[in-house]
Amino acid sequence: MTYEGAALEAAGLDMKYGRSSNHVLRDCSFRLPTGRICALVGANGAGKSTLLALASGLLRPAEGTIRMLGGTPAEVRERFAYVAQSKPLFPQLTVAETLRLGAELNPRRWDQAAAERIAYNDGPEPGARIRKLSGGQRTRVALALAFGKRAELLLLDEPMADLDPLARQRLTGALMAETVEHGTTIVMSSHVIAELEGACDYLFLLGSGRMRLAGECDEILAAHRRLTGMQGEFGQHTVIEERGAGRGRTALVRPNGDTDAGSWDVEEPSLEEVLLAHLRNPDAPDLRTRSATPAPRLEAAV
Amino acid sequence: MTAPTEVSRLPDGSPGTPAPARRRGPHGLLWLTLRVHRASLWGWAAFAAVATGGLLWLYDIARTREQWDGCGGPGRPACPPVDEMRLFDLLSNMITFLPFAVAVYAAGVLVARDLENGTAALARTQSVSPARWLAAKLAVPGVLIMAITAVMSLIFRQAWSFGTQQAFHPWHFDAVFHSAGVISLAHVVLGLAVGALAGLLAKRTLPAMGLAFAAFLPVHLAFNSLRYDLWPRVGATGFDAARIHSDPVLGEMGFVKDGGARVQDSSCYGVASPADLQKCLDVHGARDLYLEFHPSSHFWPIQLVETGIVLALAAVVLWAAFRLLGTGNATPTSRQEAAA
Amino acid sequence: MIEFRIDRRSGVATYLQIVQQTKQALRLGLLEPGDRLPTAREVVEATAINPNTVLKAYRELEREGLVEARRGLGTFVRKSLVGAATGSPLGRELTEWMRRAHTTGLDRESVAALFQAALDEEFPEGEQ
Repeated sequence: MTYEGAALEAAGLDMKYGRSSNHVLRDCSFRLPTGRICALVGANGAGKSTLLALASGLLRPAEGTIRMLGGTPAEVRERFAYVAQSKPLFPQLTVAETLRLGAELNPRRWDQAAAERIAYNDGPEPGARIRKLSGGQRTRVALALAFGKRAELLLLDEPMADLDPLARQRLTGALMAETVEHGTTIVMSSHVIAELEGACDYLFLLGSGRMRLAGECDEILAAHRRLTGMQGEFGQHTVIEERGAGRGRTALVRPNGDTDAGSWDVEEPSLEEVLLAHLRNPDAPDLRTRSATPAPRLEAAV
Repeated sequence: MTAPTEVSRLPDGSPGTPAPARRRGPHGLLWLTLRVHRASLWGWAAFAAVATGGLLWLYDIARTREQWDGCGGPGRPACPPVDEMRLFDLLSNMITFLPFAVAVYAAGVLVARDLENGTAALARTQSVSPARWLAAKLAVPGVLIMAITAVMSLIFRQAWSFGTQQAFHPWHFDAVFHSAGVISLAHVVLGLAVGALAGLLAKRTLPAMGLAFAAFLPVHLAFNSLRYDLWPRVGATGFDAARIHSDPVLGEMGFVKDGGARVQDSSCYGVASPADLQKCLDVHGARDLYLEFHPSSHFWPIQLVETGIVLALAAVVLWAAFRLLGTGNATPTSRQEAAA
Repeated sequence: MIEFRIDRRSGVATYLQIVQQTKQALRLGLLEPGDRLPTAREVVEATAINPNTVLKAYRELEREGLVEARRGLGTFVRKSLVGAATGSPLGRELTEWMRRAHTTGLDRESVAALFQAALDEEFPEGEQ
């Protein structure tokens, strides 16, 4: 019943729109182990929505393969849920009828209690029509459908986009609570990095059509250091970004070797710092932890 | 020491709490299709009620025609409030053009609207395969519309059968041929198929409706012109031909010239006797009349052949539509979002 | 029941904040042996942090012997830390030392700096 391999795995994904030679995704490969809460971040137009649409089977990649829970999206349709950015719902249905939609279409795996918890908790009335709901209430209902399905993997495209900060915190809390018992894997795309920092333990940074950072948040943070000092050269360490700091310099680096060797101040950066530095410096080398690397047989299949 | 157990995050196989107690009535995808299209389905039902009312009225007028001779005069009953010919034309045209309405409805309301606002993707992510989604969309309203069409054709045919050549149009009149037989059912099926394909291609409601109409029109016109080639015609010559004097739409009529050449010309077809015919032929320098036509007994064969061809065409169009679904093409919504 | 407040900007790891806040509550007597800690679900719903973080924190507390998990019932406090009150031998020694430092002529800031240096020496930040 449960899948012990990767929740999501892709190799060599390539996608472009129309006749333009601009590739939205180009040779994009990654792997997401199960049970993680993963933040998918990137600049506007980086391709986050495209990637999630590919993962959920709504789009076919021009090249490359994508596997989810051990199968193709069509094969495991019952075991994952996807909520698009527009949170599509039938405008003429009421909230209660929308939840019934979930129950009717997923008869074997529906959890009405979980769906109602998310939908009605400081949300709308059961009899309210979808077209009359506010953005935050629609989000709750859309997420309730995804959660009631008891999916093993959730793909959420900017789920918190129309919500005020309080609603965001509450809803994130509700999502986290639902994953506690079931070990659900979640992929959330977002622009707001700071909020994701507490909830997410896995990170994908999408840029230039590929995964520039992929892996456990802890490992990614441990692989970076902020060095500040008067010594000009940062030596053998890989510099991601360097700036002036008073009379000296400060840099975000990936250490190659001992950082105590020099006479600078060494700090662990925050996740936001690491992400912003990478966004500002598109030429920085990619970093992928071991668990985020797709299995060789998948890459060979490309 | 083991980790605290109440925070175990291993996925479990326990069943979730089920939905509230099962109500009676339709379930699953059937329930959803009926609920989502509730408004338009009631619209079709209302249309059916009005149309059936009109057809029953026509039937009644036709049935009691003898009573109206000399109507309106002194001591006679009043004439029926409606000109039966106008009513006849209205109803027969309605049935004839119903497939257009069905195509536009299928394209805009059934298919493109869901693609446009992303709810087609919603069905997919609620575990409904694209093929099941489309099949339900077409089948559920389709069954209703076909039932309506069948009932309307049946009543119309009954009303029409009271008519003589002068009172109502003959069997080979386009609107009558559509309405008094079974081809309307086949055309409705084709309308559904064309609408589905147009909806999948255009993906937006209004363009899809336009595309469906524009695609169905040539099909309709083509069948109108090719209809009477679908079954072998019967030939006639001489005074028989003149007496039959069939409608030109059914086939060629003309002279056979002295050299054996055939010329299409409808003169001499109105003569009263074989002697008048001979005089007329001499005047035109012709040897004989020739006529190719369909007697009224060909009504059903042509109906069935056309039905078969239309249904085959519908099958091809449906196959193309389901093929198009399977390529996992993007909905316009997700393409816009992906640009974000 | 205790509620945790997570400050993402404090530079202190989230799981550590939970550990520290639990210990603080134990010291102040807000939690006593036998009290139940909130479930991971309750913590996560209120703070929107990753459930694994709560797991990690509770495991740490369990490792230190402060709490214990009872299968199917929850996580319960096992030991109190209130013993470090001013009446204890350690507390009395500290008060004695303070008086001596004061008599020597040290001002408040110097005493605080001395205390902080010794604290950092004996209990480096981030370790137990």
